[in-house]
Amino acid sequence: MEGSGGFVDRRLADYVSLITDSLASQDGSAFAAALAINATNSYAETVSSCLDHTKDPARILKQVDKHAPLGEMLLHHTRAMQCYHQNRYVDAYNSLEKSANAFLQEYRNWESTWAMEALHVIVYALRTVGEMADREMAMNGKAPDKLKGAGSFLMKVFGAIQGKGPKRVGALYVTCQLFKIYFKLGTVHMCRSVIRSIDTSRFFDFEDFPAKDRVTYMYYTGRLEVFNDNVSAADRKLTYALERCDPFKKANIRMILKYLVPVRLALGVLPKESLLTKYNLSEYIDVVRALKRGDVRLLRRALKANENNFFRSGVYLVLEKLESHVYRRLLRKIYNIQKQRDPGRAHQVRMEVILKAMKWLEVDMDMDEVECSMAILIHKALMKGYFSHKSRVVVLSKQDPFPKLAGRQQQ
Amino acid sequence: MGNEWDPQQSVVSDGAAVAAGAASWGWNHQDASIVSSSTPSTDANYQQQWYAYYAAQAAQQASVADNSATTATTTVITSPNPPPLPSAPPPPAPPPPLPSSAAWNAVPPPPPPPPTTYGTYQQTQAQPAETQEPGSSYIQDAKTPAAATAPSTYTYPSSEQYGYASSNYQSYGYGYAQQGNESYSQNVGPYASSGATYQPTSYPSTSTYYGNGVYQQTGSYQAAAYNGWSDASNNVAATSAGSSYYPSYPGYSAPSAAGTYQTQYQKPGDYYASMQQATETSGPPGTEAAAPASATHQAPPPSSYASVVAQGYSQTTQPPPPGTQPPPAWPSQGNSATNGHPQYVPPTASQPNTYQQPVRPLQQPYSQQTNLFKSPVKIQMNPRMPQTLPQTPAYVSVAGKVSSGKSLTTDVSNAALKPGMFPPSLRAYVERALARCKNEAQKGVCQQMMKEIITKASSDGTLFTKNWDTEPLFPLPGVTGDGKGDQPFTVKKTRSRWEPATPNNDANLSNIQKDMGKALLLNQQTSSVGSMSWVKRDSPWANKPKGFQPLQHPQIPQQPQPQPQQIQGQIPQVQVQGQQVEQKNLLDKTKPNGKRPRKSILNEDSDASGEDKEVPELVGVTLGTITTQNPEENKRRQTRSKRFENCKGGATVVKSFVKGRGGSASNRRASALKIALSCGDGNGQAVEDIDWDSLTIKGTCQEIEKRYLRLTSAPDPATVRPEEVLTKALKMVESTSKNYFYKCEQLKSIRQDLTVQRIRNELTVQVYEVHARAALEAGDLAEYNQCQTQLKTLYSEGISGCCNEFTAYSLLYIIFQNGSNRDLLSSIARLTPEAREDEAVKHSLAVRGAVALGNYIMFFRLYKTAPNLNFYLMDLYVERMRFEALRCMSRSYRPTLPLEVIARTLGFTNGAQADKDVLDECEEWVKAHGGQVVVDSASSERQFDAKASAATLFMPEPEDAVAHGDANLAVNDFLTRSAQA
Repeated sequence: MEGSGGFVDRRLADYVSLITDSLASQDGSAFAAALAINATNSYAETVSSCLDHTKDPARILKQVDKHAPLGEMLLHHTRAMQCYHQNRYVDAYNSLEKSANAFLQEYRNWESTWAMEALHVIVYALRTVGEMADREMAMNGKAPDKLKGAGSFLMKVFGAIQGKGPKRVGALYVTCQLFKIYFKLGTVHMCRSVIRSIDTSRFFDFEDFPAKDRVTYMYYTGRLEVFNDNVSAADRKLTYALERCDPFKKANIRMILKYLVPVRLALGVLPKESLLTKYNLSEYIDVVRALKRGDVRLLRRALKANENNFFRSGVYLVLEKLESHVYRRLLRKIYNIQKQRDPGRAHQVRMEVILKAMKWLEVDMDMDEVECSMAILIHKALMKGYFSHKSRVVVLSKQDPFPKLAGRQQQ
Repeated sequence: MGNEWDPQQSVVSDGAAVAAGAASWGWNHQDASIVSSSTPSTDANYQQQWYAYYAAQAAQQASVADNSATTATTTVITSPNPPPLPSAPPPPAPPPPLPSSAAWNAVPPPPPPPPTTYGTYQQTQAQPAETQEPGSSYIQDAKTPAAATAPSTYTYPSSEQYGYASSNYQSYGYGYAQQGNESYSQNVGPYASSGATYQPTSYPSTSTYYGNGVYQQTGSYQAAAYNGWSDASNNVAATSAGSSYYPSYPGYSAPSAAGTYQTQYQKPGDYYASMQQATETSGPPGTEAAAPASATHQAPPPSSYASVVAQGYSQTTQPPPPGTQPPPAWPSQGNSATNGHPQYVPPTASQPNTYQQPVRPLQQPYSQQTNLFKSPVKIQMNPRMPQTLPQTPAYVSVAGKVSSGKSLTTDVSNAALKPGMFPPSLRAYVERALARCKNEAQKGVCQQMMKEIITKASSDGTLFTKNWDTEPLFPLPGVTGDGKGDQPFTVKKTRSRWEPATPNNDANLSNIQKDMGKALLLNQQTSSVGSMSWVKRDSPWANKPKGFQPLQHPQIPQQPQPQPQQIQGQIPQVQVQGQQVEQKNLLDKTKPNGKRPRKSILNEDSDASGEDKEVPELVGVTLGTITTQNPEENKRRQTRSKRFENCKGGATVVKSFVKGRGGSASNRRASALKIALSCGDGNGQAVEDIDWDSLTIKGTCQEIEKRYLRLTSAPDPATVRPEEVLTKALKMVESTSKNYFYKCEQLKSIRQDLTVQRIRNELTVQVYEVHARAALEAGDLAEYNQCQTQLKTLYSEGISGCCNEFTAYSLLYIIFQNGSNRDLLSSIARLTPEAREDEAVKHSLAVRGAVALGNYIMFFRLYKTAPNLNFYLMDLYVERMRFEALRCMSRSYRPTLPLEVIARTLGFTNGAQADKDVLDECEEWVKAHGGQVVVDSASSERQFDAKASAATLFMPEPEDAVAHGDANLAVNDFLTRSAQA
């Protein structure tokens, strides 16, 4: 063996001994660090360069078998590291999945949870490398299926640790990675089974999961509720996530707010403009203004301007329903003005007045449409009163014609 | 039984027909037997039946009986006689012939026509002769019996061996005619073989066809159409079937037939000669002689009939049906049967010899033959026949096979026909089987089953080769009823779950009657509309093959007319009413409040064939036609039952056929597989690795029209149309004025041809687009969805088409099908900016917005301005939207809201002002949903009482609610159900 080869072999042997040491001392973080593929400061770069030059990595890597039967896993894993650093992500993913498979088999036999961190590292690597592999495949004109494969493998991992005593604590992390995969793939319906097994667990308090996993979990389930048009549940979950989110992680807070703001708007809670600017949620600024002013035109314009955005994130359906809130606000303003002039007749709002307001807003609506909008307002109990078709007057209730919206569950 | 039947005799008799029809519908003859085969063997039974029969007759005579009745009558007449073997002269089967009563129970004899006009008969007869192929003339002879029994027989063809099927058919027909169901099984054997023999007759004509080269499976259409006509005429002829009929028959029928041949086939000489010869040669009187003749011959009706009669007469213990038929007629008929009618029989008998040799590549003749037989049935008894008719392609191929195996079968059958020729072991077997029976009833069923067994054996040639000594006895059938035969027995036969349900045979009278009503109406329809429309359709072909068709064509329009009326006259009022209720439901569906009327599915049909208008009040019936003409359903069933039949009995037959013919479907499949395997290393190559390009076929068929049949084997290039032809076919479908079911079928067949040739281009897109649009217009959402799915992938492959239009549809479809928000969101998010500017897509998005906000004003405005076919999709949501709106109004308006406003805003009107009709409609709708309407005393204006209604509004159960919740399927459901009736 030539000199450089010997040197490389020694470096590889060092790596193996690092792993055996962490195995022996059950040092989870050291083990995890040794396995990290795409983290900074990882051994991956060193190992992959070693692999480029050595002829028989298997001989060295097999030495780990003295401590745990992980030789085969390491072989695949280092190969994955090598491929990753050569930017061959599909190959990297394939090797990684073999490595993960071997590791999972061994991991099932370990009673304690010390290696959970390593498992999470592998799970994370699977997802991220899977995404990159998909991108590579798409560029090469192939149908990307690696992330999907990662999804099903993660389900396997999830099955291996959820409900298995202390190991369950790691299940939420895997769940969140699964969410990320499913949202990315657009197969959100697959989340349901995972959610069920998390929610229905009676042996494990949700609060016992790590906070970061809980926040992520609540963020994703909150988004799901937005999709399902279940505003109050979405509000609950997203609020939970917001409250427990690390206040210094502005990006994360913004992600949560992106969904929480429209949900709260639908519930009648308007954010301060400063909040929106602070977290760079300018797309909602006009929406909020429209709600405050009762300006239908502004709302429509704001929705139109960010249509794509809102459709993609899925909040459009929530936002467009704000239109009745805007009408309500408009009517309330008219009511207040009338009250200042003639308190006795304030509760009778004539259609002509509303129609005039609409004209002023340059919203093209005829009598029928306005009537319909008012009827919907009453129907949805956004305002109390009735509509007299004969005299073309909205007769508002004398008591509390505009019941408080805030926090009220939307119909 | 008699008691129950009497009061409703007319119904019953019709019902009987229906039952027979159902049987035929039921795809295999066994079903049929189940349905109609009650084997009351007791005298009492007979008498009762006779009683019913007479009553019916009387009634009928009062209202001049119609054709179908006549046909049935014939059946009746013969059936009462307990001749062991009805049509099969020499009782081939050891199983003692069951008292023919089965026929009775199952098919109450339609009132015998008053001895009708001979003259009429002749006239009608003449037409058929012209129009039909050689076989047709025979058919006419066979007419009634065939017709009566035919349904069941017809079903049979579905079995894989076509030849078998067709042959069976004949025999069945006969059996039915004479005895009813029971007899048929016995007959089958001999007849089957005879069918084979017979083919030669028609053969010449086929060869001519071939010459054209145009010939395709589709060709069967023509035949069917024509047959249909001839059938009609036959029926008419049948009507006149008196005792006089037979005697006179020989004389004129022969000439006419000859004439036909001349014009059509140009082999008149041969044919005629052969006929003469036959007459001379086969003249030998006596049942024996007659029997072979009939056996060999498809058309033997006269002879077989005669013989049966004769036999029956002589052997009968039962008194022949009194009164109805002039007693003298019987003897005379019998005589003619035995010694007489030599002319008829002989031709057929002799012909086999002449024509058999040619191996015929084309199956056309067969289909024609089968059709001939079938068609009478359809007109008279089975409403669904028309559907089935066109499907003949299946038969066709079979037929070819039959001929190859024919000589053997013929021998066997001939042998079987001679009573003495049964192997002793078989007799022992039969004795053993019968010995187990505990009572009369069981015995009857037992015999019947045995007949089936023997029939099968003789038809597949194993009658003599089978070791009957070791043959296991069939399980003793369970027999219901009290053994007196009051109730029809159930032959408990395990039914494949793929088999269409047969109407409950357990003497569930009410059920049966209900079904009857339906079937009857359908029947009517069939005879008038069904057959007609098919004929029309076929017209394109009519011109292609030989000269005979042009001749016939002009006649088509004239013939059908008498029938509808006659048949209608027959329909019991009760049933009509029952039907009308259903009609109404369906009507309600098609005529929604204030909606633009959906294009009636059938309107076009009536346009297509003016004859439809003959039946003015038959809306429901028209719907019935849908059934009849719903080819998919039909096809599906056929395919299934084929599968079933195949594994059931005829396996051996199939095998031999396959051996005989090179081009069979199974062979093709095998060769395709071979190719596939040879592409790779031969062992277990993955499917994806097969080089499909090398396997892709290129069609050679030039026919523009083609029936859709689900492929069960590798496609045959000869039946697949190449792209140019498909383009023409698409044009044809686009420009046709025929109804949706026709278009749907044609489009499906085009799609199939595209698929098997792996053509994916603009044409493919166009086909799917055309189909999707047609489906939308007809409200066929399932079909639409299929097309939409295909279109989505086609568009995504970059093939251009009306992408935006269909994007708009799919958006609406998601909205109205309660698709998940995510689906909606993702499909909206995927819209390109250009798509978003499209008028139709914009409309869809606006509709979505209106639905999301509950803005009913906007919704109904959009409803009225819908571009393309968006309207049809919005239609799906109108009811829900209206109800939501009404709820909203009831909560927000006080005290009242003028009805006129509701009518205007909820899309009941088209214009601004609502007239009285619209208001009535609106009021009806409001009330149907629990709303209260008051009349204002001052203005006498109708007003919606919002306050009173607020608590009482409800969404009524849809009238056409079905278990699966899709109202649109309900129509199909209905059709399916009535199809099974």
